[in-house]
Parts: sequence; C-alpha cells; structure tokens
Amino acid sequence: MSLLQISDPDISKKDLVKFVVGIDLGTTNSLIATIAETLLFFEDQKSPMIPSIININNKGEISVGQKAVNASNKSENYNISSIKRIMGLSAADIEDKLKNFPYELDVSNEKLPLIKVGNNKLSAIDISSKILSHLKDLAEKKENKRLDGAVITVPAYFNDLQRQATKNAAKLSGINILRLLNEPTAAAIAYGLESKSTGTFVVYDFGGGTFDVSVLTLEKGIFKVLSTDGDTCLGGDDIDDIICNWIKDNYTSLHKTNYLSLKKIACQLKEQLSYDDIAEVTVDTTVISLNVDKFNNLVNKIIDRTLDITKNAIKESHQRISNIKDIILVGGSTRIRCIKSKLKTEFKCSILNDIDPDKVVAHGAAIQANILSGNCKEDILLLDVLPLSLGIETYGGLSEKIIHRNTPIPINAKKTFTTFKDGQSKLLVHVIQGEREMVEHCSSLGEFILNDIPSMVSGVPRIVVEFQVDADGILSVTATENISGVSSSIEVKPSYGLSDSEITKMIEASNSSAKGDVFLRKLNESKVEGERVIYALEQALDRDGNDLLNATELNLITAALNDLKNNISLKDPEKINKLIIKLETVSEFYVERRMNRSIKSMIAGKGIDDIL
Amino acid sequence: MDIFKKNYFDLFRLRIDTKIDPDRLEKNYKLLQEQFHPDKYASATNHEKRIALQISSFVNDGYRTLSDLPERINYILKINNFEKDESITLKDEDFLHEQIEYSEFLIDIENKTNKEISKKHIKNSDKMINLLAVLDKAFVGNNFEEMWKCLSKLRFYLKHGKKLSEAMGDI
Repeated sequence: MSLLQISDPDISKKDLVKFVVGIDLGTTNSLIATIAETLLFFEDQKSPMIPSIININNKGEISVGQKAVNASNKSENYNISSIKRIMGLSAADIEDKLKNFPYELDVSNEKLPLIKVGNNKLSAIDISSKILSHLKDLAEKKENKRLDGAVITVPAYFNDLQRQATKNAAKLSGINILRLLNEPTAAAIAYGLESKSTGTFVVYDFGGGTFDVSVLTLEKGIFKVLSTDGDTCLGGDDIDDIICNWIKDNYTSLHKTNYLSLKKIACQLKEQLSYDDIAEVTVDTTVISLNVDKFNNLVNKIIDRTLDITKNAIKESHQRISNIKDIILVGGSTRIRCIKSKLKTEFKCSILNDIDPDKVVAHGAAIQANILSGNCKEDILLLDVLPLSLGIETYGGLSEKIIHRNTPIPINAKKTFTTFKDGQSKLLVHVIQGEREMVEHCSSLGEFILNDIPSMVSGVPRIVVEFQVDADGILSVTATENISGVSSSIEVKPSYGLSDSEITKMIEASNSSAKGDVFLRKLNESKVEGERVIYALEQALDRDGNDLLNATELNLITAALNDLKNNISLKDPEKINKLIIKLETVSEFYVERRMNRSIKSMIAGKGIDDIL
Repeated sequence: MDIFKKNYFDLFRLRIDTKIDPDRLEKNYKLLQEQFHPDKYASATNHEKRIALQISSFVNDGYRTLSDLPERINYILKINNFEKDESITLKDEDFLHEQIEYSEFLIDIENKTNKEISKKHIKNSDKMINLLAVLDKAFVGNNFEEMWKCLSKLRFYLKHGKKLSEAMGDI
C-alpha cells in the first residue's frame, strides 16, 4: 500500500510561484520584465531600456548596458553595438547584407565569424550571452531570487540559424529558456489581454535593426498567426545610416568624424523629429539642422519597403484589407511620424499604439512566461507559423520545398530518398531555408550526411528523412531506412550551427576563471530538471494514477520516483541525470496511456463537434 | 499512439468529401490544439512533451491539408490508395490547347487592358466552377481516375487565377 503524501503547511503557496521573465533582446536596447501582481520592468541605472552594448577596455575587461555606454567615452575602449544584426549569419552573409559593418572580423570559421577587439575575439553568440547575463543579474539582484526561466523574443522573420544562435546565447548565459517567442506575437498578446478585443490584426514591428509584420486573428484567448513577413536587416539602424551619409554630404567639416559618433548625431536628429519639425545638433561649432520634410524624403524608400512587406503579408494571409481591424505599432522606429500617416492612407484602418512601443514586446513575453511556468491559469494559446520555407537541394542547384512558409507550427514532413549508385552507403542532404528557386539565394542550414545505408542496388533503399519543426520554429532532422518494412535508425550528422559539445566547450571557456562554476551550473541544471519531472509525475499520478495503473505498475513508477526524490539533494549531477532518465523510461507507458485517454475523450465527442 | 492511425477527416470529425464545412474544421482544429499544443505541456515530462509535439504537428498537417482544396482532393485519393506517379501528365488535347492559350496570354500580359484581363479571369472562374461539378460527380461515383484528372486541371486554373488577380492588382 502506498503512503499518503501530505504537503508541508509551512511551504506557502508563494514559494511555488516561479520567478520567470520575458526578455526582449533588441538590436539597440533590451528589456526584461516580470509579472507578479503587476508588470515590473527591471532597470539598469534607473532605465528599463537597457542598451544592447558591450564595452571592452584596454585590459580586456568587459562591461555591459549602461556601464558600457558610460565607459565608451574613453577613447582607448572598444564598443560593440547592434550585434543582433549578425546573429546566426555567416561571414559571407555579413558581407552580403551589411554594407556598413563597422567591426573587423576573424573569418577562420566561416559559419561563426568572430569580431576582433584588441586581443579579444568574440562571436555574436558570446556578445549576446553577455547582454543576457547582464539582464539576468539585474533581475536576480533586484528580486534576490534565482531566475527559474525566461521567454526570449526573436523577430518573426528570423530563420533557423538565427533562432538557434539566440537559444545558444541563452544557454551560454545560464538562462533556462521556456520558449522563443516571435516579437509581433508577443506584442499581440500584450494588446489582446489588455483590450480583450477580437478580430484580425496586423502587427507592424519596426525596431532598431529588424522589420517584422504578422497578420493574426484573436478570438477567445487564441492568437492565431495567419502569415508573417519581414526583413531582418531593415530597421532604425538603416535610417541612421542614411542620415549619416546625408551629414557627410552636407557638412564637410564632419568628414573625418568616426562612424559611431556620426551615428549618435544621426540618432539624436531622428529622435527630435518625432516631436519637432526641425531638429538641430551642435558639434563643436557646426550646427547640423534637418527639417521633417527633408527627413521624410530621405527615409521614404525605407518606409515604402515596409509598406510593401506589409501588403505582401496581408496577401499571404488570404484576408481582405477591409477585414483588418487595427494595425498595432511596435518598436521604437514607429515613432517616425510619417509612418502613421502612410499606414492610415494605405490601409484605411485605425492605429493602435497605446502601449509603449518599446515595452510591448517584453510585456507580452512576460505574460507568456507566467503562463508557461504555471504561475497563472490564464487560458491562452498561441498558434504561430513558419516564417520561411524549408527545402532541400535537388539536381542543378534548385530548391525543392518541403515545408512551405506560413504553415502552422509545430509541423513535420517526411521525404523519401534513394541511392544513385549500387552499394552506396552515404547520402548527402543539403537543407536550406528561403523562398527563392536557386539554392544559392537561400540560407544554407547545412548538410546532413546519412551514413550506414545497407548495401543494395541503386534506387532500392528507401531512406525516409523526417523534418520536425518545433513551436519555437527550430528544425531537427531524423532519418530511417525502411525497405522491406524494417526500420533502422540512420545517424544524422548536422554540420551547421553549433553542436552540444561545442556549446559545452564555450560554457567551460567562459567560466574558466572559476572552475567550480561549471560544476555548480551542471548541478543546478540537473536539480531544476529533476524537480520538474518529479512535480509533473506527482501531479499526473494524483489525477489519474489509480485509474490508469494497476498496483504493480504504480509501484514501479513510485519506486523510481522515490529514488529520484531521495537523491535530488546529492551533489552529484551525473547520478541525478541517470535517475531522471530511469524515471522517464519506466513511466513512458503511463504517459502514453494518459495521452491516449485525453485523445479518446476529446474525439469521442465530449469536446469536439460531431458530424451533423 | 492511436491518434496517428486516424485519417484527417476523422480527426476533425468531418465527413470525407471534396467540400467541407470550414467553420467546423476551424473550431475542431482549435479545440485539438488547445489540448495538445506543446505550450500546454511546458512543465510535463519529456516523453509527454515529445508526444504533444508529434500530435500537435499531426493536427497542424491535417488542418493544412484539409483547408486547401487541391490538397484535400489529393488526400482523398491517398486514403483511397489511388496514387499516381507525378511525372505522368494528362493526355487531354482540349486542355493542352487551353494551356498554350493561357501561357500566350500571360507572356504578353503587360500589353493587355484591365478589361481583357478581367474577362479572362471570369472565364477562368467559370471553368473552375464547371470543373468542380465534374469533380463532385466523380467523387460520388468513386471514379478516382477522373478525380485525379480534375485535380491536375484544378491546380492549373488556381495557379492562373492567382496570376490574373495579381495582374489586376487586387489583394
């Protein structure tokens, strides 16, 4: 007979509340927010807008955020900003997409270019992880609690590599990622829950470095994205660049001013023009003056491009413009005044911007983090889509699409391949992402080598490759050979992004000054995971353990459960991990039974509408 | 898992047919995702997460397939074990002439007036309506060969209808 378990009355409900945050990892500024009773933004020197900047001094010491901005006045220091623009990009991509890229690169690893600063070499993942660590520190210090998890936002139009890079940066900073959330979707959650409105909306998200647009419907807590489009290299930065060039052309005395100083002036002019008709900035003795008409003229081309992208997203959503209820404005760049008037003329609908466009994304992410952690029972569901088609290279360098863009995710698709030569034991599958016909115009996600194909006559093997995209929009690939009905797993070696062992190496390298840190981190990760699995299974057993399991089965699971519980406070991550796997394995059949039961009860007509 | 053995029409409680009730599909789709979307399993065991991911993907694929007319017809053929090599083309002379006529029209589309394009578009829509009637009849009579022929034509008319709409500049 199993003993009754009664919870400790001293552990109040408050201790069960997880400390989770929403993070908007932006090009120019980042924000971190949490929802306890109310929404709270963590601040860096009294500002919730935390500059996405790192500074390296001549001793190689790194500062982040406001401190980095303050330190940047010293001429011997290096500043790195706008790193989000190169997340997940190869050296060739950077050269191709970013004409004004201001940093020197080490391209010895083509897939992971490093920025050279003095004696330091840092990847975009390293730099982003430093920003994330800084955000995490600010939150943990303020609350005096360990962070349990975070929802991190990414541009909806980020491809697989850019998403992977963001996830890796979070791993490197020791943040437990609950979910990657698309920025426009996050904004929609913040608006949707505030206003409780229903209908079809367009989210126009124009940030520091990226432009995103999503068309979505909102109904009874379900946020369904219909289509998404964008440009991950189009933002406030590009507007600053145009103004920089204009300054150089019109003020000869500023010819020799360095790029970052010019950019600062451009930014000041742009921001003044959000409120005034004329902006002036004085540098030494020169007064730089820009009026709103000239400014509108300069940025016209960029704004028109965002309108074209918006039109295309609406077209892809199969909605009529007249069906659109509101356009939600997100991102600092939407403060440019002509955007509002242009959107109104073009789409003839009202503009929603009552939530601060800089804060709305982190706000939505904080809501989602709170829901995913189980802190609140708010019933919302996000149905997002794949932003860019996934395909494989076929003969002649052409792309064959396997999963089309704007398909709801998660999604999987299977594709069967065969061999070209007798006895061929390897097959190379090149996976790409993008809309263009030619492989060279799409992003290469990498090549997978299928090894150990059994020796057969050409064309006989049937190798089924399965592409699985998860809710974060990230792809994984598995393959099986199943001629004559026998399935055998085939090893898939990804050659893109970073492998788990590379990440571990990076974590170890970043903590090399304190070796004990690496161990503590592993231990902490194992404990958190162990506690999660214990909690999940106890909840499940409490609900239907007696219905679905006989005494022997129940004992089997309880024994493994108790084994893990008794050992979770040991300082032995390896052992904890082993016990987690053991518990997960012995309870697999039970989990499947539970899932099958909920499917049955749904399809039996309890929830679902029956055929009339 | 039992759910993966279901065909998509059963999954969404719809009658197997070329026409479906989109509201019912939408409603049942959302009910299924509310139950099985991975976000609902954020604090579950890893195995539960894996299954949720598979079911949610399966539901999404079903939704995608049944929402789209040609995909839906193709799926009906598939569940009736009628599969044809995609490289086989239709041997229908009238249709071949039509295809040539369309491509000639589209090559020269910049020199066409809005009225001409609109006329062509209406003609295209009429063809599609007639085709759908033939298709339904074939479906009722279990004539899968005929359904397959209709499907090839349908894809053609849909593709050209889209091109003509784009040329007229409407969204």
